[in-house]
Amino acid sequence: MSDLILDEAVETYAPPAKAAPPKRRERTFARTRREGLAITLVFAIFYAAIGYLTVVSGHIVQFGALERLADAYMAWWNEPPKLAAIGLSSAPVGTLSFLAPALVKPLATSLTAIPLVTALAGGGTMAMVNSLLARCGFARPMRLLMIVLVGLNPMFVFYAGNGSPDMLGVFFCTGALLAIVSWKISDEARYLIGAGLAMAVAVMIDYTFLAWALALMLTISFVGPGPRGGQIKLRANLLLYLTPVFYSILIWTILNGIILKAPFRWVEIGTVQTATNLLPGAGLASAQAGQAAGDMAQVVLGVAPLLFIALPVVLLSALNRRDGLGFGLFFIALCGVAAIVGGALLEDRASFVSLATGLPLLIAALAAMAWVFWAESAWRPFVGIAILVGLGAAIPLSWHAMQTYSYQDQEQAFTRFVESRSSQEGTKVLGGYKVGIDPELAMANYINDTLKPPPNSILTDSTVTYGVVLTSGKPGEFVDRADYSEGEWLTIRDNPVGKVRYMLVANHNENDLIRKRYPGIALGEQPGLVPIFHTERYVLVEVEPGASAKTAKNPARPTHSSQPRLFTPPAPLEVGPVQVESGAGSEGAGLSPLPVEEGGATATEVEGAGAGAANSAPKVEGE
Amino acid sequence: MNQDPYRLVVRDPASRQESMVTVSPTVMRMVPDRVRREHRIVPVEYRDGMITMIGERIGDEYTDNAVADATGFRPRWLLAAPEEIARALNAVGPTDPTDESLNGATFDADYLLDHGLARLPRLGEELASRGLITEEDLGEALEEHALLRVLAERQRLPVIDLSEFDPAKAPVDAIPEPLARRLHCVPIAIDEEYLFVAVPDAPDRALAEEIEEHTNLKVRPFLAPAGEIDALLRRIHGAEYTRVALFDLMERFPESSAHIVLSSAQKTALVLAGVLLLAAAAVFFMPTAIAVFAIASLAYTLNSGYKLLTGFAALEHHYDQDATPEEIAALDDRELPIYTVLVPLFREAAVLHQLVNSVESLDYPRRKLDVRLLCEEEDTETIDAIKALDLPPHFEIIVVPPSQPQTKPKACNFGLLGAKGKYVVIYDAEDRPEPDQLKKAVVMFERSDDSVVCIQAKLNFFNQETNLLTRWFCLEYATLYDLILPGLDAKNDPIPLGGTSNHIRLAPLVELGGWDPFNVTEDADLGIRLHKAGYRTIMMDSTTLEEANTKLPSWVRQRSRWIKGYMQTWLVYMRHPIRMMRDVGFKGFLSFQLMLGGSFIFLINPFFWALTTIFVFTQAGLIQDLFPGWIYFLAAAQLFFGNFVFMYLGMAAGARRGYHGLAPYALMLPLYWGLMSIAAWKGFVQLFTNPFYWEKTEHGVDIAQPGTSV
Repeated sequence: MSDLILDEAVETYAPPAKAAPPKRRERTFARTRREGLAITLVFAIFYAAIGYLTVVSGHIVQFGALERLADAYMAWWNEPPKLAAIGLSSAPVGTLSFLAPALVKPLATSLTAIPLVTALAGGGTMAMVNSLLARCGFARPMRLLMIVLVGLNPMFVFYAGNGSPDMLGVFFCTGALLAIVSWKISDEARYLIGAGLAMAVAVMIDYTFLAWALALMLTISFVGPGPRGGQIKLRANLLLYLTPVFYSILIWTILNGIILKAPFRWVEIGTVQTATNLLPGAGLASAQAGQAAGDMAQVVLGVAPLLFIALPVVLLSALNRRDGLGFGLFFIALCGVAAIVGGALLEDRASFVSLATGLPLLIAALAAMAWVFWAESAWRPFVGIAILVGLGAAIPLSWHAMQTYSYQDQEQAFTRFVESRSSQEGTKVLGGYKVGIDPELAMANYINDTLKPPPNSILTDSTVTYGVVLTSGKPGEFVDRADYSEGEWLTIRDNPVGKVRYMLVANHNENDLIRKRYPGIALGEQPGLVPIFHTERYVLVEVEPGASAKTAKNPARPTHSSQPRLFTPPAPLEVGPVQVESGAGSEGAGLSPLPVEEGGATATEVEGAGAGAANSAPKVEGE
Repeated sequence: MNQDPYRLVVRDPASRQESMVTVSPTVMRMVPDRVRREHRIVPVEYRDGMITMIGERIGDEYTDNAVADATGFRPRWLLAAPEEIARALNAVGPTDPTDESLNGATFDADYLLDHGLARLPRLGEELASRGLITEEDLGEALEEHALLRVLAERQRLPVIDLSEFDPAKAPVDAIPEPLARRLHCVPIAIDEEYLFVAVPDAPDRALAEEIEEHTNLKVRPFLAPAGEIDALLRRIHGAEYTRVALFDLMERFPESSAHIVLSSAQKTALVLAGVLLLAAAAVFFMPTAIAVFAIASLAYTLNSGYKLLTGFAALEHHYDQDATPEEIAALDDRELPIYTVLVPLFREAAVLHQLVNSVESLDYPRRKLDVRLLCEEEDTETIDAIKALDLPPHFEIIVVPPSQPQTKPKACNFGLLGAKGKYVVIYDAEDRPEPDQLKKAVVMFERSDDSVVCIQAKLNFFNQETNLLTRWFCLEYATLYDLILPGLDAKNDPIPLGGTSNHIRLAPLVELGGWDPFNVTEDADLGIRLHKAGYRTIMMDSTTLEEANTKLPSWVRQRSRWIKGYMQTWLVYMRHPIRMMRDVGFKGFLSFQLMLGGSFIFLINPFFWALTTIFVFTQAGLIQDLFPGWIYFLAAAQLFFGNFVFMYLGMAAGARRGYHGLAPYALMLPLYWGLMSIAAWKGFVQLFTNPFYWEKTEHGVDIAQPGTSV
């Protein structure tokens, strides 16, 4: 038979059934986006509410947050708006995070904006913790319980609602940990990108996170290039991770170099607290190695007790499995601890080991345990229970630490507020802070309602008096250090006559450049500079002919060259019954008639104090 | 079979005398029954090398040739009445397949064919389908002419050589060109009763009926190689083909053609804007300058932000689609559609071997490939080089007649005429597509709905390691094809296509007028036009490796053309912005502005960089005054973050493709953008001085580089 076909026997051919469309590529991880969004919203709303009450009702304002909000506000609303208001005195991200809420004036001036950003960061942190736990194999009920335990940790609640950049740092460190764990499991380069970007931002929140960044770099090296790569891939992985970190440091160094003419000034500044509500002499205790280590242990015990379990467990697991990530997580936690202790020693400041430094360690401990849960299936029951115990125990331990630990930023006031529901205005707390915002509000109200100055008429060092500038809502009235170059501002300060009408000075803050130049200014000891209004922390001085740095008086020989014309506000603010810290000092809450200089000098009563009736009562938002 | 002789009356046309002749069955068998019946002829005698035939008429060269082919002898004719001939045929020839006298007989192929008991399909197809030979064997063993002769013998059809055929003699008016092109035939002669048509295969009844219906003439087919038929059609209709290739889009969709750079309305608007700007600057210099910088900063931010969001979103997902190995394996080569591969060439003799290798490497049956090598008539070097290669029949040289503008899209339009494929793809001469790319495209087309008209494969380079420029180029392409374009696909935004490896359904492409011959980035234009027409482009996870420019001047020329083309395309679709927005939607319109309109940003980059540099060194107050408030924020954000993030996106894209060695070079990408600004200005100037000029990219400079594993 030839190669022909017969019509009657045509071979029938059936084409294959139409292939079903392929699914999108398999995801490495199950999607938890909706769940994450819900968690973020729930916790963010919770933290924002708590934070709002804390600030508005409790008058517990973290002045670091206040300063950053003020800088962000001035960046928008200064006349003209100036990006330079963000400043270079501290890591920039904290300020940048307030740029959005600062756009809305009432939000900023009422201080309502303070809890918003960190509440969102807190909620986001919870969502990322959920993702981390999900990727490590925890079932939903278990991880939701864990999230609740973390989220209700009182330290977490406080810092998620107080606007402090600490919570932002926690957010980004959590992101980095989530990314690095995801990268290890999936070997997908995009997670390294996420880790790099997260750490780049974290470093610009708090420079101590540089230690974390380095630890993560070593972790990537420990993990290695993976089964499908060689040294080139390892190098590429490290580059992917390090590039954003390095870039953020580079840009910040360049900006310091251009603006401050000192590229590494930011290293020197570090994280020195310059909070205006810090009482004189507070926070200056020297650090000793043993003491700092002991303090750190206290912090860990109080805030992140899980770390004591996590460190040996993850190390054991890493040794057992020769697991690079296990070693890395161990190392990250250790570096986190070492960075704090080391920072305290370098700064020679015991207060560097503050309670807030325990928050990232809490997340690091949780991440380490979660990884062990993924890596060691036989250990899972133990690990799960240990996590729950550790997180559960952290709640009362944190509460106790907030009430008793020496180096803190008004955590004690928060616990009092929670217990009493009363305003903490004027109270003192461990750490050397005086709680409250009334001095700022009173000064701002006086300026707005009584003084009504023209624009650019009040010289002030806004790095110290930011609270007044912000709560006044009119930064245009002030000649602050963002308005002019450093040299120009100092020139005005030295020769204010004809340039400004008033000066706003912080009474007790040694960093106030006006106060430094004109000692005793608050008492009217400087010719031509007449105090006209004061609150507990600030004094407003009128500039009269004769005011000049050339004729400034030496503080060693105080003289009363002019009678201060002081307007004393009427009755001080109503504050609830508070427990004043014993031995805290004799200063009471509210406004004193005259500022009290260091050394106990007091000014005389002012005649015509009744004229103070012309002042309106200080307005307190939210009361 | 009736063995009895049959007698009939015949007339000798020479002597005009009638006589009675006897038709012998033996003599009958000298001419196959099929030929006898088709031509209605009866052999009666063979003597002295001449066969005497009875027919209805004489002077029919077609029938003469059929007899000569069948018998090897020229016939001598006697005439008889048609009914007599019919009775003779029925009386003497075998017609009844159930004739018992056939039992036990040995039936050979001829017999079966003769008795209509069998049909002869395309020989190659049958040989391959029966596994007697492979497709490759067929391609190698049987050159087209030989195959044609076999077919002719089997089909009892004459063969004609069209290579020297004078087009002037062709009765072109007999069959309209579109019909001839569709039926793949060309009329070569005509008389009162017959139309003689060259066909590549035995014509089926439908073809014959269609022609006969149109012409009222009977069809006499001649076999000719398909390529020669196409070439003759092009020689006959070359001028018309050229006109269509050049002007079809312009005539049918003038608003989508880039034959003019600026419409009247655009010119008016530009002049007006320029005058207003100058007047404002003269009266209010600082506010005007601030406004200009504000707009520029905003444009920068939107452009960067959009691309970054798109790119990073794609980083998180795999938006490009793929066909699994199982799906590809399930394809039956017999059922695959014909795929047209257009390869525009101009001075590409150096890379022809690579081109052939790449095409031959494609995992697609040769007989289903329609590879069209599009050469400009003046490029005799390339044409001669192609001819010297003696390529297999699925390659076809198409010589594009000279006309202006001389562009790649014009050549592609020319090549599109007569394309046989259901799908078409463009490859450049140096392209190295993944072998299964065509099959992947088929799978993806088949499982998509009709709105998916185009599938874009990814592009990258096989010579990425040559120098810094090629590394940058590679990272740029990784960012574009692995991140940005898939991101656009996921959002269903218009996708500006890549220069090659865009697989398109032929019918909609023709319906939309093909490529714009006046646009130097016809690919980007087509992508927008497809989207505007309601069609979709999707991204395919398959890569074609190309040759990256290794020399900076050449790179600048190439890039200037691309940027010029993007500007051209933007100007075309902004002639009627409201209509454009209506067609593509607001989201698509915004995407179009940011992707194509964003090419203008390369023009303003140098100004911003210069201002920044001057400000850093001088702290000039004037510059500070030009960027107040939020404008400063935007500009600063762009400077500090925008540049970084683009550079980082390039690094990420490289890592995503597994090009780990390129990571360090991504750090220097800002320098690459400086080069793009240089190219952008060149392209911008050329947009007005020589808008249709095609900056030819030199290929083959780096072809020694081995392919990079992906």
